[in-house]
Order: sequence, then structure tokens, then C-alpha cells
Amino acid sequence: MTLFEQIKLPDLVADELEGYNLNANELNITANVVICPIDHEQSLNIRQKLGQPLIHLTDAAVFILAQNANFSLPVLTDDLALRRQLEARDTLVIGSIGLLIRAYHQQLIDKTDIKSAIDSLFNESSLHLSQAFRLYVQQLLNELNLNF
Amino acid sequence: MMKNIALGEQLTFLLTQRGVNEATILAQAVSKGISLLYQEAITEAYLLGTISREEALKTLGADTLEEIEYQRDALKRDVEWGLSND
Repeated sequence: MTLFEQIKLPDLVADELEGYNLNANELNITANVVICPIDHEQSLNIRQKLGQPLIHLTDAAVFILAQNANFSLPVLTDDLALRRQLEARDTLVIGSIGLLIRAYHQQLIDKTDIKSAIDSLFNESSLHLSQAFRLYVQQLLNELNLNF
Repeated sequence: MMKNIALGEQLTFLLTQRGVNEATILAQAVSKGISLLYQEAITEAYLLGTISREEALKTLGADTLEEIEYQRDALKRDVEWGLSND
């Protein structure tokens, strides 16, 4: 992946990836992955401060990383509650669909790859996007003549 | 999110906890299931433009509809970013 030169991950997210047998330092990407330790107490406080809907602790850690950069760096997340908090602070938030389309647009992946990745997003990931959104994404892509 | 507990185990717990028979639980399950599927179908129809916002609002309520619209718009922004050269 060459969409970003550097990707910062809170240590909590790196730990979560390990739960899926993914080592953040050994991902097959050319971006420099930096794992940032985030204080657990600070994550708890931010989560409380942001109020309802209560975001997950890992998302609170992502919020803190964004805050440390004065909300000036793009944030990659599919969590809608975190996205709302960040977009309210004018942060550019990018979800998996955006990343996949950018990778396809920049010819880093081909049509088969993007189709398979989007199918996986809806079938296997923890995105929790319903069938309704799957059809909506298909419609969006078809309107762009990507014809999935 | 609820852990992946086998349906049989869930049913056994329900029967014990509620103290009702299996037919009652299954009738409630079908009713709730259809209601959920109906809401999903309304969401789908709204997103695909086959029903109006007013119609969706009547079934889904303002909060749910607002959440769906935010998610829809977030997906649109994702697609736009994906196709941009920023």
C-alpha cells in the first residue's frame, strides 16, 4: 500500500490486530507504521468526555492521536461514532470503502481485488453494514461506471 | 455485541427465564424478526430512492433515519475522496 507515507496506530489498535493474528509491524504495506502508546486512563477520560454514544476504548485512543496532531491528519476508521466526533472537529476521516476506491483509482489494485475486498468488508468484517448499505455502495459504484 | 451463543442455548435460556412454552417464544421471534427485516427493507428502499424520506421517517423514526443518513453521506464522502487526487 502506498497511499500514505506513515500510519500511526495507538498501541491498543495494534493489540487488537494481534487478536486477528496480524502484527502491525509486519503488515504488507510500504507505509512506515508507528505504534504510539496511549495512556489507558487518558483513553477512559476522553471516552467519558465525548459522551454518548460511548465510543470504544480503541477509538478513544485514535481520537487522542488525532487530538495530538491538532486534528490536522487524516484518520482511517469505519466507526461511525468516532467519525462524527472527528468530523465535528474538521478532521478528514476516511473509511475502508474510500481507501479501496483510492487504491483502485491509483491502480494499486485491480477490479477483481476491489470487488473481493468490498465483498469481504460486508461478509466478514466487523463493519456491521447492512444489506441495505451493501446495495447502496453497489449503486454508488455503478453510477461511477465502476460496475460492480 | 452479543457473543456467538448457539441458538439452541439461547432458546433454552429464554424458556427457563421467561417461564413460557416454546411456541410462545417462537411466535415472538418471528414477529420480532419480521419487524427487523421490514426496517432493513425500508432502509434499503430509502437508500436506493424507491421510497420518500417521509415514508422512511414514519417507520424508522427521526434518530434512526438521521444515523442512516449520516452513514450514507459518510460513504459518499469516502467514495469522493477515493476518486480525488488530494
